[in-house]
Order: sequence, then C-alpha cells, then structure tokens
Amino acid sequence: MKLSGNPRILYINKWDKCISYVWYCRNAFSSSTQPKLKDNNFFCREKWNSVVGLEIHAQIASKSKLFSGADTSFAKPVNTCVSFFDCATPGTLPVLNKRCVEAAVSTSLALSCKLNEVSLFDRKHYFYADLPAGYQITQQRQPLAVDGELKFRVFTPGVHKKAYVKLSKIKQIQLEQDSGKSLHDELERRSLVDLNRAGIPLMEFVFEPDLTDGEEAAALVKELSIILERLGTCSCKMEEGAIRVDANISVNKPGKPLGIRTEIKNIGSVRNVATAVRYEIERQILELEAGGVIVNETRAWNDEKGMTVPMRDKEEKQDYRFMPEPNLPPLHLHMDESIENKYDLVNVPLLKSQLPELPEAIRVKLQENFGLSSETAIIIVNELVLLQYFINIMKENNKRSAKRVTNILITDLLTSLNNKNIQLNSCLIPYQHIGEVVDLLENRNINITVARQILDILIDDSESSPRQIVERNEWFQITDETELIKLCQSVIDDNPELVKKYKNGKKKLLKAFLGQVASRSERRADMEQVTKIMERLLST
Amino acid sequence: MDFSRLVRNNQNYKSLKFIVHSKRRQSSVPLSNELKVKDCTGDPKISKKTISLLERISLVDFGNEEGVKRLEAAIRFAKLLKTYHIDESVKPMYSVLEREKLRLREDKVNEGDCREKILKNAAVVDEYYFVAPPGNIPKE
Amino acid sequence: MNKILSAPIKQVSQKINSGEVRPSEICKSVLKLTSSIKPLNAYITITSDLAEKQSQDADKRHNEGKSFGRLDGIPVAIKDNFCTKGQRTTCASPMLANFIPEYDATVYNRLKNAGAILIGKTNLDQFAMGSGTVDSYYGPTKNLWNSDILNYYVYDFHKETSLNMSPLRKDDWYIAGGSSGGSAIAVATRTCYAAIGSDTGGSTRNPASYCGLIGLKPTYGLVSRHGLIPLVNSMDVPGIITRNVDDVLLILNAIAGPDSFDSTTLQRDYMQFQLPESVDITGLRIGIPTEYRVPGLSEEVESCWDKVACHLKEAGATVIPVSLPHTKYSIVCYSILNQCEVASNMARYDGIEYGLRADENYSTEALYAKSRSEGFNDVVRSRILAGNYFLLQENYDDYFVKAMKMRRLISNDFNAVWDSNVDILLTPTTLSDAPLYSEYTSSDNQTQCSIQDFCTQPANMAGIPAINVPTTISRKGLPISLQLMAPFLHEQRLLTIAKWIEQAVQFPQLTLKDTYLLK
Repeated sequence: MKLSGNPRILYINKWDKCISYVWYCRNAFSSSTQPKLKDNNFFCREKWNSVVGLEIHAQIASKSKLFSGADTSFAKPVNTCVSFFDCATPGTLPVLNKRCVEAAVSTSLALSCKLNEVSLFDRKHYFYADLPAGYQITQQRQPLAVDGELKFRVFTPGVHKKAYVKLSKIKQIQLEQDSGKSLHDELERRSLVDLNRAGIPLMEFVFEPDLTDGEEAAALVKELSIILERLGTCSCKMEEGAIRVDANISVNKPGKPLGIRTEIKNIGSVRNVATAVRYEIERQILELEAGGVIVNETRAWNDEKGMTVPMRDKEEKQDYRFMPEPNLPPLHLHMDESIENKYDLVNVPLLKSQLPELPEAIRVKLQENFGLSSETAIIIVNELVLLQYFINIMKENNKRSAKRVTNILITDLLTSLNNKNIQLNSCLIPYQHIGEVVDLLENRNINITVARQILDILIDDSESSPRQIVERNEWFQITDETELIKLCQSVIDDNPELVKKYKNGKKKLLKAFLGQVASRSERRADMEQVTKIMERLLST
Repeated sequence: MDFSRLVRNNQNYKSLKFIVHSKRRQSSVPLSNELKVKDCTGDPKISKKTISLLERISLVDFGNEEGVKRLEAAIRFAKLLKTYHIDESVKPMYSVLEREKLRLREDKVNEGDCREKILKNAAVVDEYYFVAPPGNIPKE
Repeated sequence: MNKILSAPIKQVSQKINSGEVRPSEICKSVLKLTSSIKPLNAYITITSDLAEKQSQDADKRHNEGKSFGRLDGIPVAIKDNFCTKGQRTTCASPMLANFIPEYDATVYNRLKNAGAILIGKTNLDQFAMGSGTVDSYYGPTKNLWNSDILNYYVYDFHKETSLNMSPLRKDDWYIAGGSSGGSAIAVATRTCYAAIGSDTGGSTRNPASYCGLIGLKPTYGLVSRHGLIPLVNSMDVPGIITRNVDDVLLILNAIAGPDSFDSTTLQRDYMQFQLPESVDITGLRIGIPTEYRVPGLSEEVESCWDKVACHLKEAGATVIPVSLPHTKYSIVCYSILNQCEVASNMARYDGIEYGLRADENYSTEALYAKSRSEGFNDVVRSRILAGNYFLLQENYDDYFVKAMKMRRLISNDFNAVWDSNVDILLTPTTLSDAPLYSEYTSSDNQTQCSIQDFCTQPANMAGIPAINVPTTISRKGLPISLQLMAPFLHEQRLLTIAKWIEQAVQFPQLTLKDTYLLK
C-alpha cells in the first residue's frame, strides 16, 4: 500500500482494515514528518493488533486561572500572569473558578457523561521546575464526570473510500491545573521558568483504549476539538498548546493478551497524533519481530526527526502519592431541576438546556436536508469556517445547489487558500461573495476556471464583488452560439492537418481543438457548448 | 507537636502502647522501663531500595543511620493502628468539612500582574525568569 | 503604665479613648519591654519601625475621633508562620530565613484593619513541628515562669502549701511549650495583649497551658488560614493567646468569619460572639472523658481537674463521666496524617521561587535535594520521609487510609457524646506543668514529649473548638491548666464556661513591678 508516495509497511489491525489517513483539510498531507522505518519485511509481515488509548488535555477557555485570579491570556510577557498562589507562595490557598466548572460540566454533558453530584480534588506529587508546589491539583478519586462516549467518523479522502463510524468510551473527565513552562538553555546548562501557564485550567479526558490506529486517534482528537469549539469551552488553538494529547499504545498478536504499552506524551497537533501513533505502532512491531521487548516507558514525539524517543526521566515507575487536597471542600453540582438551587451551585439542568447543536447532529442534518454525502458532511463540519459559509450561503438563497456550494468551498476555496498559504480562519471573504460566485456559475455567466480566478482575487481583496471583478476583467462566459461557432470555425480553419487526422479517426484530437478554443477565448468560452459545437462542426 | 521525638528511641512507642492499653493508674512518667510490650515489635527493616526511593521522591536525605532509625521508629509507632480492626463500612475522613459545599469564584482577572513581587524572593532570576539547573537528570 | 500593660484590653481601650494614654506611648513601653525580656527569646523579629508607625496612625485616629474600635492601638504579636507583607516570615527555619512575603495573612490583615499594632513575629519550632519551641533556627524560647525575668513581675498568689522550687541549673530552664511558645511568652511578659498562634495538634493550647494563659483553638473553618504557612491543612487553625477570656473574645470577633481567599472557611456569616455579664451554669452538662485519665497524668493536674469539676458541680452543673473510646488511637492517627500532609506541603520548598537555594547547579533534582537538606532540620526531614513512606502505593491503605478511617471514628466519638446531651468536655491540656528543657530534650524523658499533645490533638482531628484555661500554680511554681472542648461552632458556650472557670479559680495575674518602671 502506498501512501503519500512513500512505500510503507502494511499492517493489519484487528478488523483487518487498512490504515488510512484522516482528512485535515488543506493540511492533510503537508506534514513533513513521516516515519523513518525501513520498508523491509514488507511482504512477510504477520498480522498484529494494535490498541490505542488517548488522554487529552484541553485548556478551558476562561479569563482567569483555575484556582487564582491571574490572567490566562496567551503569549503575555514572562511571569506577568502569576498570582502568589500560582508560584506556590507559602500560605496561599486555591479558590476554584466557577466558569471552569461550568465549562467542564457543559463538555461532560455534550459527551454523554455521568456527572458526579459531588466531586473531589487530589494532589498528584512530582518534582519539576515548572511545578512550583511540587504537586498538581487534579481529580483522581472522584472526578467531575465519568462514563461518557464519543462517536466520530473516520474518513480520509484519497485513502478511505467510505467514512466509517467509531466509538470511544470516556472513562472520566477531570479538572486540573496546567504546569508552567521551562525553556531549556543547553548552552548555559539551565532552565528558565515562566509560570504564566502555571494554574491554567485544564479538562483532562481519559479515553478507554478503544482505538486501533493513528487515523482513528487523529479523527477522535479532531472531533473532540470541534465539539469543544462549538461549546466554546476551549479555544482549540493547538498551536498555542490548547489541546495536548497523550497516547497509550500497545501491539499484540490476535488471540494473545494485550502487549506492554508505551505512552507518547504531549502531542501537539492532530497531524502529529496520526503520525506519532503510526510510528510507535510500527516501531513496536519491528522491535518485537526483531526479537526485542517493549518496555513500559514514556516517550516523546520528536517532530523534527519524525520519531518517538524515550524521555530521559524513565527510571522506576512514578509513584505520585495521590492525596486528598485538604484545602478544597467537595465540589457539589445542582442536578435536580425540581429542587431549589439555594447554594448557588453550578446548575446542570440549565447548562444542559443551553448546549449548542453538536457536530454529529449537524452532519446528519446536512445529509438529510441538503443531500450531502457523509464524506462531504465530515469535511464541511470539521471546519467551523466552512460550515458557517455553507449555512449562510444556503440560507441566503436556498435554491442554490448544495453540491455546487460544497464543491466551491471544499475544492476551490481551500485550494486557493492553500496556494496562497493562508489559514482558513484568516479568510476574510464575505459569504455573500462566495454565494455570488456560485450564482455566476449556476447561471453560466462564468466557468469554473474563472470562478477560481475570482476566488484568488477575493482572498486578497474581499471588497470587490465577484460581479465587479468579472466586469472589470471582462470575464463573462461566452455563451452566444454564433460567437462560439465563429471561434470554433476559426480553430478548424487554422488547423487543416489536425482536421484531416481527426476525420481519419483520431477522435482523441477533439481535446486539442477544445484547448485551442479555450485559450483563444481566454478561457471564457462555455466549454460545454463548445464541445457540442466542435463535435458538430468536425463531423460535417 | 513533635511526635518525631517520641519515636526517636525504640522505647517510646512501648510507653505509648502502655498508655493506650493499660488501665492501671500511674502517677508519674516515664513508664517505659516498666513495660514489656510483646506485640507490635516486628522490627520494620527498611530496605536500601526503599531508602533510595524515599530519598528520590522526597528530595531530602536521611543524612545518616539516625535518620533511618527515626523512620523505622515512626513506622513502628504507626503500626499501632494496625492492631485495631476498623469495620469496612467506615469511610475515610479527609476533612471535617466534608459536608460543606465548595464556594466558587467568579471568573475575573484580579490578581497576577505583579512580576516584581513574585520574583523578589527568588535567589536567582534572569530576564524575569526563574532559573533552575537543567531538568530531567535523575538524582544520583 | 506598668498597670496598663497588664490590664484587660477593654480597660486599655477605655483609657486610650479617654485620652489617658496614647497608643504610641503604650507601643513605646512595650518595645522597651521586649528588649528586657530578650533572654526568653519570644520574638524572632521585633517589628519596631512598623509598630511605631502604626501606633502613630492610631494616635491620629484617636485624636480625630475616628477610632477603629476596641483593638485600635492595642499591641499584638503574630507567630512567625503567618505571612506579613514586607516583614520577613521565617517559620523559624533556615529555609525561609530570607523570605519576605508580599501579602498579609487574613488574620493579620483583619487585626490591622481593627487598628492593632504589630509588635513582632514570635518564635516557634521549625515549621511548627514541635511542642516545646526548642527546635527553632533562632534558638529555644524559655518560659517566663521560674525564670530570672519573673523577678520583674509581681503576682498575687496564696497557696496552702508553700512552693517547692528547686534551684535551677544555670543552663537549664522550663520550656514554654509549643509550637507557639514565642506567642505565649510574648503575651505572658506583657509585651503584647494578644498573640496569634497556630494550632494543629495543640500548638496554641500547649504553651498557653505551660505559661498560664488563655489559649483558644477555634472551630476549623471559623478563622481563615490564608497566609498561615501550613503544617497540616486539614487540622491547622489560627489560635489566639491572651491573658483572659474577654480579650480572647475580642480578638476572635476581629479575625473570624468567611474569607474569599480560603475555601475552607465556613460560608455562614460570622455572628459576633458575646459573653453574658454573669454566668449561670445550672443545668450545664459537663463530660469528663475517662480516656483522658491516663497514666502519666501528674497528680497535681489530676487533682486540679477534679477540683474544678467539683466547683462546677457545686455551682449547679451536672458532671458526667463520658467515654471517647478511640482517644487512645488518636495520637498515632494524628502522627500519620501529620507526616503525610507534611510530605506534601513541604514539596514546594525547592529554592527556585523563594527560600534557601543551595549552591548546586548540576540538575534541578540535585539543587532541590541540597536546598531541602540544608533548609530543613532533622524533624522536618524525618516527617517528609516518613510521610512519603506512608503514602507509597504499597503502604497507602495500611497507614494513610486507615488513619483517615480512624479519624472518622474519633470524630464520631465526639458526636456521640454531644448527641447524649453533653454540653462541654473538661480535660487536662497537658499532663503536667512545664517540663525542664533538660528533661524535655533528654532521651530518658522522651515519654513526656510523646504525650505532649495526647489531650489536645483529638479536638483538631474533629475540628471542634477547644480552649486552655489556667487554673492554679503547681508546687514547682508553674502554671497548671485545663482544657474545655465544645461542639463544632459552639465558641460561645466554650468561652462562657471558660470565663466562669476563670472567675472561679482566680489564676494569678502578673504585673510589672513598680521598681521596674517603664515610664
């Protein structure tokens, strides 16, 4: 099986399904990192199962930190968002942020979790320069929510023919603090510690090991991030570290017990989730096939080298010595609508009533109402910007062809943006303009080539309307039959040799004629009509 | 309250043991020599491995043999709890406020922009960063 | 002035309000007195500049008729494990010898806002881990009683039997108790009217007992711990040491109540406690827990206990023997929970953000280990190691979880007693009067140390309020005290009965001799 032009090792997961890539819109295959495994053993590979479980940390979108009133803004000057509590000043105590509880409750509800009416906080102990208290406050014994599930679709254009649905169970969702950041100054042998991130609120999602490969892992992360974005409970800016993924991975032979697992820590992009997990599965298989053993260890994904590497602190297994956080009484939630909320607790029924429509429901709706395919629905919903375009364009004029709209968005707009290296989120084109492009196409005022050129212009200049651009450039499609006949005839007249060959049976040459018509008309000719006219003229 | 003192020599727990179990009245202290405690004497020998594990997770040293003896005495003392059977139905009590409801804070930024104050007590600071030696090097 | 320094706060306040004396004058005298009592080593830091400034501000307020109330201009001291902005806060440990907090503990903040004058930060055992105030980086605190300094004072005391005071060795003294020994001596010596201590297993009541003072451990959650450098978060409470019950009430009313910086403060609004002018104890049901009648209890303390119980009975109270069956396990349970929390709480001291930083650059771990070994004494280090041992996965259930279960049984013991309509418990605070330093620190007498907090820590386990009330002077010439314990949040009852006992026993009050005139 060939992927991305590179020979790859083929392995079979427990459902004998080929590994595929999930679609990441424009960035799908732009990653430079590829596993650097040799492709020996290609043909003699035995079957292996692979088991993947994820733990995902998502920063909660809040103004202030989980337990202090310090700012959570990203990229602030070093150590300017640090309260006394955040730097573990003796005598300071945690005070829980209501917004963080509400965000985690909404998220738990969206993931069909069972909320614990009473949850507890615990200390998890380990020494690290960017963990000033020597422990992290988290929820271990009795987390905020348990027993949820996330259903998501796995689909990678070009790899999967069809999308398939996957379900991963959620063991628990807990609130916890983020750590600070250490900059390692190798030259001077020291770490520089910035505590701006210390104490930023996190939701940790602990998933059961229900996945089989990197593609599913990446699709899960993507789906979770769409949900969080819809809920507004996380910025989901992975480039800012708003979502970080730890993956537990093991491989085993079918029918044999599960293998020893390794953990890859802190994977920072959806793309890297797929590549890192795939790499690690392959590494483990190679190791075992070479007669080696897998050790239970923590590894890191090295993006530059495109490989997982063992982390240096792997001595004995860590004993975190969990202990109840004595400075935080139990967190109670208001669960029952029929009872008065007299302690002003976080109101679960209220939050439930305010949940927005979730991506899976939107996809189903898109398929039902607009006849989109599952695959198209996935791509549209995966990008909030595309979804908003789609909905707005269709709302503006529901006569428009949904298929044409999705084609323009998925194929043409994304390609244009990609060519100019512009993020979808930075696309300033008003939806009305894109709608107008669709209409111009629909009315055959322009052809698809012109449509793409218009999009290119709109990306740089979102002020002009598509119609103005077409007028300015005289790009209207030539649909007048007499004019088109004239054009075709002139090409025929200029190419007597070709005409002779065509008439002798070289019908393939039709394309050459059409090409000349297109270029003579500066690609404005309605090629559908031209084809018919040309065939007619040549057959006489 | 310094109970480390009370476990500093091996006799102490015995006297405590006495206090715990004897109903006999005594008018003065100490009592340790008058006691023969037979149970609870299973001397906890701390293995080298445990010692180095404890030093690594505590990041303090035992210092010397005395330190190890102190730990052994502390464990011996703690083992007195083992002699008492507690019913399964008894739940651990981690706080006397277990029936209270945690009060929550409104999500407002009202702290934290105080870099000078934060850094003032740090012995080493560079360009507004705290400074630590390189990490991820296991303790020897 | 000497009389003023020994007067109850209410009287002093009246004198200030009437213009008879100015806060700055009191402050000046008190500061002068602190240097006279220096040999007792009550203070780690005398905050004289701050005190002078604060007292001048108090003068001004009084002149302008804008007094903050009863505590305006009243000198107080605070144990050196409470953060005070701009004043170093050491916990009596080299680890924090250079630590200057940039914020105020809520307790100090509230006292400040009530106009109290901070005289100094008082001595303690390192990180409050001790019951003698002998393990301080700044040296031990000595008891005022039977010290040379006691000669500066007079007190009224008629005893049937004459005092049997054996002469002290030159290098020996009676310990002040602890860990808030500095706070107790600060109050006993009249260098302040009230001092804040902390009480985790008896650290306020124990020195109050040895120094003949009122020592209140409030209900857990009634007074904010924000700014109190923790020993055991689930048991620590700010304690109050004063010379009489009225004073302790004034301070409690100033510092108690919910605090947005401490999630463990109780939510209900604090209703100021008030004491009745005259106390009637008819019908009061007083429990005497049999488990506190332990071997090792000194005859003098025991007879004092019986005598006071008898007094109460004669005055119309019902005295009932009660049982708190798990008391005997409380001390073991307390020691485990203490060490486990210490292991956790001490993890933050690594020399990076604050505190002692050793000269070590090999690795983060090496720096931490060296800083922590240099910054902590044997006691602290031993507790960290033992705590981590109990928290290891293989030991967790046997020790830590079991101790937490025992804690519930101990707490249930108290609930059962209250449920049987017992209003209050009367017990010893300490098993004897203050031991000699030589006794206390000698290996022969470690049994005595081991039972220092036998009577006091159960109240911390259950979170209930308890108070030390001095009752008499022992044959050795040292204070003997008793403890009262009341149900959760029943400070009113606790203080009322303490006041009744106070009035009944007439414990001698010290006054500076006229020959030692401060003015």
